[in-house]
Amino acid sequence: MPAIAALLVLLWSQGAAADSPPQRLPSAVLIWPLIVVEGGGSITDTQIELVNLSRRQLLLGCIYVPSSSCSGFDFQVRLTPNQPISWLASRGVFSSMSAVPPFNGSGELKCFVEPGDDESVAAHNTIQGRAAVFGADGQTIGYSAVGFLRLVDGPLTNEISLDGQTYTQCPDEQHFVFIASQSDPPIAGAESELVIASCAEDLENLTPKPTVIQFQIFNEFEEQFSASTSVTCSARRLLPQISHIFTRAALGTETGHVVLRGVQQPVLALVVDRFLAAPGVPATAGNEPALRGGRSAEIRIP
Amino acid sequence: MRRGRVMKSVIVGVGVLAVLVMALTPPVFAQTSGSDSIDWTRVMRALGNALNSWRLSPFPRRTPTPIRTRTATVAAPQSTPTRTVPTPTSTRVLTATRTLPPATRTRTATRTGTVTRTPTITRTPSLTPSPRPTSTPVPTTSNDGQIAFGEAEGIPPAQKLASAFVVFPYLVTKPPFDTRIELMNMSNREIGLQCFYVRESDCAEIGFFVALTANQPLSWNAFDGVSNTLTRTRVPPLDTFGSFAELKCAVDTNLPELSAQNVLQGRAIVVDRSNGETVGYGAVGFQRLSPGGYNGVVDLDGFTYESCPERLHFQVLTVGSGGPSSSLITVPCAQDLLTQTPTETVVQMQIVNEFEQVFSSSYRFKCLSSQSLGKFITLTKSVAGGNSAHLIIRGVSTPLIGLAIDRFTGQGNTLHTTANEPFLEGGRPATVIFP
Repeated sequence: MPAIAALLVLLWSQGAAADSPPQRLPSAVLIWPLIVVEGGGSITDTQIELVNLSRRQLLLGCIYVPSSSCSGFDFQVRLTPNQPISWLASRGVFSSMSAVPPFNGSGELKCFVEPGDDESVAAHNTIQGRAAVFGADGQTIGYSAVGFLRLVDGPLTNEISLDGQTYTQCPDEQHFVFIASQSDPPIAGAESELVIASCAEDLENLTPKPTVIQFQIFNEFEEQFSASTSVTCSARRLLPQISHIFTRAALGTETGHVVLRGVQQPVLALVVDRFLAAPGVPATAGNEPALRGGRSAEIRIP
Repeated sequence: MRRGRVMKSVIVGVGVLAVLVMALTPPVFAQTSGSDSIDWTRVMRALGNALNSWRLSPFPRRTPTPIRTRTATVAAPQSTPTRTVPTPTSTRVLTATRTLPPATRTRTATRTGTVTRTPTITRTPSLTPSPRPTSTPVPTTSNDGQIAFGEAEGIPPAQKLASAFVVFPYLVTKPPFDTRIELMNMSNREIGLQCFYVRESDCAEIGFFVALTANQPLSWNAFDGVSNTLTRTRVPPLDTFGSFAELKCAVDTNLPELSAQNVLQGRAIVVDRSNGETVGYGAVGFQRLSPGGYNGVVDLDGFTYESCPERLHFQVLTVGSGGPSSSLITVPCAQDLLTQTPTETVVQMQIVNEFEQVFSSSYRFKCLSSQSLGKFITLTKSVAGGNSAHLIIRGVSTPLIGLAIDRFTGQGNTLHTTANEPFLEGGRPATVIFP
């Protein structure tokens, strides 16, 4: 593990000027862009999963950020070597080692590795996580947390620099293949949704900054469109609400390729595919982006 | 050389004569002693001293000898660690050498310290071929309670990036299931893909070519396939070929630059049309690392393309009694479709529960496998003792690509299904050969 961490560090420090964060690797910072609890969990709930991929005892600092207030409430999680932990966001978890408060509403979750005496890169890059948002209607959105690797030895400070030097950068562009809304006007339950969370965040001074999101959209005939929207902190939007280009009637094809980019600051995004598997049979799936390019950002935690 | 020796002999002769003259001349101490006879002992001693002080050895080649001998004896123990390179421990260092040229230089510098051992520098090139971490996956028993899992070495493939080779490990077309396959060209140029479906029943394949215009997205239902005469793309239907299969696609271009190779991403949604359950997942992507055209051989060795992951980590839900069971899909990373040699391997599983207690299990498969987690007693809630477990898997004879499918009940006992993509650790070489 230390050898791999060292290799990764060197690889990324050499070419990290504008590189996307590689995913599915043991990471130091995790961001879950979509946590949903509705009706105290009776309508929609989220199963949050976190796993220690190392043979070390870990202490994590985590913070929920509801999209309604953009102010976070934080907690700590302790993990023994290789330990998996999961909890329902509506209930939280309480044990002798960790206390996770219950969550309500819609928002995001961020977790950071707080290394102990060993502040090496290997001690930072140790965790991974995922979440499954599920509703009483049987729809499920499973996705992996976005991971950022630590690149240099050192302690965790309250300024987490996703700059390609200390941690890997935020992605600049996010590419999705999306399913155009099946009808215009759209059918309820068959409209895909875009979830956006900010990659840069000042949770110490609570100064959320709005950013414009630009969309570049290609249909299957290589015809190109564009659209935009504005987001502060985090947001969930149905694709047809952003632009009618996302409907099949306007796009002209069943599938589209959308390239998404935050203008003022980088963002993290997730598409929730919703379509009809058969007439009257709605289906849902998480749609994680392919990443291209990197941009620096900073997360300030209290 | 000869003239030099003559000169030295002359000088020595003159010196000897001078000493003899000095010795034969009655010295002061001889006069004081009152003796007229020659003290030959003193003469010989004086001659010896003179020769010693002049350091004009008649055997000039001897001078470097002691230095060389010393260097050899000192250098011998230093060479021992460098020879331990083939041991598994040092293989890791070699892997580092591959990606980290500075590490190699450090070693060379250590050797150059023993100046006379300059020839041993030739060893440095001999390290070059060994970075292929072929010996990495040797199962080891570590000393900290882990079962059959030593340190993972190598670098896993970075995911969610534009890639040159993608693998979809799970396609189902048996009614009421179907799979929607999505591909995306992430570049501003037209690209061609060579793709193969490989079915689970007998590892047989069917190949096809796909062309994507700049930035083009393309999707099709695997059951039906797709045809586009404008782009010369035809994907055969999977309906009659096989109901459970995998798909591999490689960017087929003669342009050697990496920007022309790493341009592809994909995902798939397996959907049950009867109840809307879906398993949506991203294809496992491998980036091209060294420039070169595509020739049908995808060398996932960490040099040409990224290597296969050595281990897959899943956080899975344990199986409650009477509850739905999650599944584990595994596909070998190495595949020879040219000679139709099926890849068979044992899968070793390590299961860590929420109390850090460790279990193990294993199974054998060929081509493609779907295992219900309920068949592994260590993944049942009663044995694991918690709702979730950390599952680590590795292929013994070949690395694996995998996907878990989570099934659980939610509000009002509604059944939920979702894909569970693995986290990757370590790297291991494998080769995919297309016909």
